[in-house]
Amino acid sequence: MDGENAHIAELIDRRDLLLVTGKGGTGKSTVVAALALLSARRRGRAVAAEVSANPRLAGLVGNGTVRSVNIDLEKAVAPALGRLTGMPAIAAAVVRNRALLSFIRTSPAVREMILLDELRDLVERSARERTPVVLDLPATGHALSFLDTPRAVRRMLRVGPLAQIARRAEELLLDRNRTGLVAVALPEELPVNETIELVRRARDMGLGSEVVVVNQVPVSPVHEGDHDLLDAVSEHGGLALERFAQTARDESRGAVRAREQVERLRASLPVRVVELPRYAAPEPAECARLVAEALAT
Amino acid sequence: MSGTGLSALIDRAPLVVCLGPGGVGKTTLSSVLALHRAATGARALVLTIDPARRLADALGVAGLTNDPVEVSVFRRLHPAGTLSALMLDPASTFDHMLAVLVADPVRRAALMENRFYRHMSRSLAGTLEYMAVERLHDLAAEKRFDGIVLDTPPTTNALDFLEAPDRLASFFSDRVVRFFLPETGRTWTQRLFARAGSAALQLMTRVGGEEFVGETVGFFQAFSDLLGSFRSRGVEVGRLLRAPSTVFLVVCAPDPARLDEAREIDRRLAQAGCRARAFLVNRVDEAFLPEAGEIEEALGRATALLGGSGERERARLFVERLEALRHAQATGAAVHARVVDELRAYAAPRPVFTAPAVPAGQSPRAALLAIYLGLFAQDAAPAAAEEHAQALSDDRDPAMPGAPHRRGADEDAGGP
Repeated sequence: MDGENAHIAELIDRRDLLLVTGKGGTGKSTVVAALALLSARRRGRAVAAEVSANPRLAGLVGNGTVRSVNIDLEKAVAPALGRLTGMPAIAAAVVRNRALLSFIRTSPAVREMILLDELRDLVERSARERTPVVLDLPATGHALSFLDTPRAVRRMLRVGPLAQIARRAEELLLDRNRTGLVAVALPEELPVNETIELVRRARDMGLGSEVVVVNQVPVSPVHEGDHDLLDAVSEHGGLALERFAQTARDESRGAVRAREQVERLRASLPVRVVELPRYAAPEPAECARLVAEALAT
Repeated sequence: MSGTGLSALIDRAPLVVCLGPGGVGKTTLSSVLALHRAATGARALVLTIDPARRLADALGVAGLTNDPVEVSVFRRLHPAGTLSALMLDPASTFDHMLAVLVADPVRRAALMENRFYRHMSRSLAGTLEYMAVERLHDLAAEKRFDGIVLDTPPTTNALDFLEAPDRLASFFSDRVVRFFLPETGRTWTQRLFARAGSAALQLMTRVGGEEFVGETVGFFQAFSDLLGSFRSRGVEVGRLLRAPSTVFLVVCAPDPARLDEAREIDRRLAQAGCRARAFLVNRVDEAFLPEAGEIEEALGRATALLGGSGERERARLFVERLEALRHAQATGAAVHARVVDELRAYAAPRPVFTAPAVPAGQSPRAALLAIYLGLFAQDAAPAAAEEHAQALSDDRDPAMPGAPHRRGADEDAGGP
């Protein structure tokens, strides 16, 4: 295990909650599933959690030692309100009022606070069984405003149960011994920009941003000194080979640009950067398993 | 001239809405669709939410703003039409909306000071969706454009955007508002406790504390005159989105995981009464691959290069690496073809259009043109192939003007 993957292992072994975010399409859910699979291997069990209208993790982690959980707002509202107010019967009645339910669903601070409180509850229950929770957050911008809700709420309110949940959620999120942030990036200009921005903003918010995973880093198919061979192949083959040689040139230029982006990321951020290779599009669950394997070795 | 396929589908649509999972290239495809509209002579606008620097690069503009900016870099392709782009800024759209609705500057300032408003307009998840439709409403009303292509925000729930106007309307619905609006001659606390029978308010107070309820009531008080306007805007935008002339497209990537998401979006669209008219699959690899062994044979024919045993070893490793690339490409292309077939079977009789994968080495401008050519084929502007060739040759010689603008690490990333 090299230094960077050792750092992943350490994160997994010591944290109760891993928050995973990144730009859409970076392979965030695959990394979440892989981290959960690896956690289960190292700690016996793990929970892979998401907040989604279209849950995906169950299909990625299989039926082994990883439990997948979707935090469902509709289901969370009544118990969370009951817990908050100590009036579970009234909470259940209110939730049946469609107008109020729609207000709660729309009113964002309330919505996010309920989800965060459910998450905190899940993390605390899991931590008692020494089971880490890996959370698949929404894409970068949304994830940050989600994680920033407690602070926004505390600015708005000083007292009351909502302020109290905000404080409790913030305590968990900002506790660097319990919570870690994993940012998933691609070795391309925009995802790298967004990741740099994400990590800086996460630091400003007081979150421990510990690892950036750069997914799908391509390897050049043509070595620096071998372009003469590629030209020869291109000239001495048919049309298909000529086009393929062009693909190989494009790919190697792409690999050089990807490398520049990874180096720019490393130079801009004082955090650990872990690189993952690109897999030739297997099934999603298979891909999660391969990524877990790559992170373990 | 009437186009075929995708062209025929979008050529007359005043509004085209692209929905899809995050990271599938919605922004780029939306721009390509707007470029096509411009090429057919329309005044086209792409409204994007993604703060995509790459898009600004591809469009050759320094930056995009909350107002339409005319893009001239592809003007050879649209001599008769125009292409504009706009990047949504939720906070300024919200403030602008307030400026339109509240004439009195003192009242407006008071509203902007309200913490509930500030939170709602700046940091609230979901504001982006509200504001996208709000801006759309303005632009559609102005009639400056014949065709607007809306690139929807990348959310976990792509339908948030479609539901936004209804949620906006229901947020300000009488049933909710009456919980918060004071009756004459009473302070909000008096009213609250006068309605002690309302378990809901009791609960809200327990949850948020009096201060929270106070801010909320203050917000609704300040907004009370505006509620009607808010509601009617929500309803109007909902009507615009559901108009029969609006074309919904689902954008997807040729990845089995993304396919499920795209189908889910399609189902939810249909439930919302906005059936998607077609699917676009972006970044489809087309395999024009040599046969197994062909690489080695060709190299064998070029024997002059292979001198000593060191050279032979170099050639062997070279062939091995190229074979690995061939294998990866073949696997990728097979998966892509399978996903496209599966989607065709699902979508039928609706069409599925594919856009080619563009090698990572190409500049944003060349990539955008390659996608335009791939997606519109015979309907593409005649000058497009020439422009693409020019963009590719600019790529190879970065000193040429029009080459991709490279940014330093210390520059601001811009936007969230």
